[in-house]
Amino acid sequence: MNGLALGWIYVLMALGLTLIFGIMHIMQFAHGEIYMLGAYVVYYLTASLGLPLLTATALSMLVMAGVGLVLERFLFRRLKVDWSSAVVAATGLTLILQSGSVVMFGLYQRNIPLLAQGPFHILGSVVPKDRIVAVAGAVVLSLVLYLFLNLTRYGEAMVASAQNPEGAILQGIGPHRMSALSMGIGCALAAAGGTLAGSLFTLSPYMGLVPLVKGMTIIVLGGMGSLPGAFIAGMVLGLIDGLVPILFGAAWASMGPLILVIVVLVIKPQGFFGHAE
Amino acid sequence: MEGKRKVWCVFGIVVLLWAAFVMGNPGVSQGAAKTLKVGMIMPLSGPISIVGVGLTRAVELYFDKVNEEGGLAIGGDTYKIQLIAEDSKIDPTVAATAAKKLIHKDGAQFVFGSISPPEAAAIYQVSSKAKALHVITWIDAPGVPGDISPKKPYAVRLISTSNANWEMDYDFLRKTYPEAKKLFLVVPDVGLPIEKAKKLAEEKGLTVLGHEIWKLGVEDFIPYYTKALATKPDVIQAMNSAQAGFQLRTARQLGFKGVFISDSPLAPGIFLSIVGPEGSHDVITNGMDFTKATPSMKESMDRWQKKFKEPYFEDAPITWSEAEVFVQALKKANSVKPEKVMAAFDSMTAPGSFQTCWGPAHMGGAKSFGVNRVLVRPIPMTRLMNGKIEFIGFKMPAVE
Repeated sequence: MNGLALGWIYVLMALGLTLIFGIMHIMQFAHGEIYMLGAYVVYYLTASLGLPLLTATALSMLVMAGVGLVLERFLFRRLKVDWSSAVVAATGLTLILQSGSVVMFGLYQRNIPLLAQGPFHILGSVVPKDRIVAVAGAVVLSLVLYLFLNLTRYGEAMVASAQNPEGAILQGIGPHRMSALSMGIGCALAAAGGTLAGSLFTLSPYMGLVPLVKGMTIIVLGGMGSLPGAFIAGMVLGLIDGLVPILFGAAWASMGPLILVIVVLVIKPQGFFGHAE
Repeated sequence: MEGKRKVWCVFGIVVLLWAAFVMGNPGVSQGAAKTLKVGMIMPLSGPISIVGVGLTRAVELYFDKVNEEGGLAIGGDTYKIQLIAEDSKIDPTVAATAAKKLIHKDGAQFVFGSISPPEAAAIYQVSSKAKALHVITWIDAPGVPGDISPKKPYAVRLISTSNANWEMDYDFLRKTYPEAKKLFLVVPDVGLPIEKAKKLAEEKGLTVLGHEIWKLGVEDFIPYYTKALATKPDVIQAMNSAQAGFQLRTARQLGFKGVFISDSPLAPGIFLSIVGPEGSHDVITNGMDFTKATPSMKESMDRWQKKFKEPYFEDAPITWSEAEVFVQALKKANSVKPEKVMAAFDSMTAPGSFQTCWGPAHMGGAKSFGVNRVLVRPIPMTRLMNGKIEFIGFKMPAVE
């Protein structure tokens, strides 16, 4: 269950990265910092204003979606045409957000309220309730995203933009609007992932780096721009992170994902569900 | 001719200015206080900068106190202590470079630091060559590279390691929870003497069911505590961990209702804030309950608030007391020469030789290390029960 919870947190990261990459064709290296900021917003809403965790999470997702819209409009929109400029800008943004967070939030230990207290006893195993709630929350968000992309006009427009940008423009689908939507949704998902992680583990201005790397590993494994690939790869990675330390030790847990990436890239360089160009 | 005269005029003005600067320098004129430069190397940036900055500030505050009270009267001179802090970035190479700068450029003869054994070893390599005294401020486990030894005439350690707390923790456990006999150890990978812990526990009537070792940097303790709880312990001991609060939370989330021991100085308030009142029961810690702060601790807290206007860093008394001890050793030596200060430390082995914010202290460690170069001072013990902090008191650790 711990592995599943980790996996679904990574999936939320990867879905956001995949959406942004699929439509904007830029790798958003500051996505880990969006994840981290989302978690801190929830911390301050719960600790200072006493809001319930669910309300605080929803507000945080809205706030970070707004941040995503601002970033898309004033930073990434003009850099989309030049891939290297976008990378430099995203990297610079990472440093600014991380350093700013250290100054603003400090490095004192903080944590978001638990998602649930105590364990379930299932078939002789002990499963912390908060892990189950984390999985449930991530599944619901992923389902909502799936329904949005498949059953709504804007969702279908986003899918069309990702598959054939020129064709979508010819159909009257505005590229800037789709970019803004992908950025907003991606950042909202990152905020949700950060909240789950901040509740299960700890808050830190540096907490975004590992999930970012995991998210990128997932989109490499699953296929760039592939949402089903992101789901499958996220689950695989989460299970490796959850089970391997117990069964084989921490060293194998660190090496496992890297070995998997090498094997997949050798056998199928475009990832599980990616397509050869 | 005109041009040459101008050059000589400018040269003369420069010489006069230089002379005024040198002769007007208050540090050089007779009768003024001298400056004793003390270096401190800590991680001042990065993920654990909160610890490095907090520990450095505590020393700075103590030296401020000494300076405000007129400075140090040593050997007929009065010294103002100037702390020069350098960032180690938790990197031994950077720590060594910082030590070179402090000793050779700034002229420091005493260097405090750092936070990890490799850094301490790197600092000593530099400081010993210059015959500067290295004051080891923190070490994870006894006897690791970087720790004191008879082969290191210029190193002294002003903190005991967490293993020195085990005896008092096990004694309290046996007295308070006589039915709790099955112990599981969760240990960071820093070289702690686990076999000694097991032997000591067994001498106290405990059965050690096993141990799990975790690597530094781990945030998810579920794998380790899943294995721990599979052995059905009555007691879990989280050794030497600044993340003991998260470990306790993990244990409680997995359904562990037994006794939890944390032998690190992590304050009980931090456990409460991480775990909440529901999980804060039957927890034994060696952290300080600051509602029972001693007068010296209260002074450090007041000074902190006045100078930094930030929440007090609860590990600050650790280095505040190291600074107290250092200054007392200087006074005992009546000298600022490292060899004489070292000899003073070596002579201060009688109980009560030092007065610290924790209580009376002395130098010890000859039986374990071959030299009395470890500060033995009282360690606090608190218990958390039903969300409330119970201060048990101060106890002397087992440093032989």
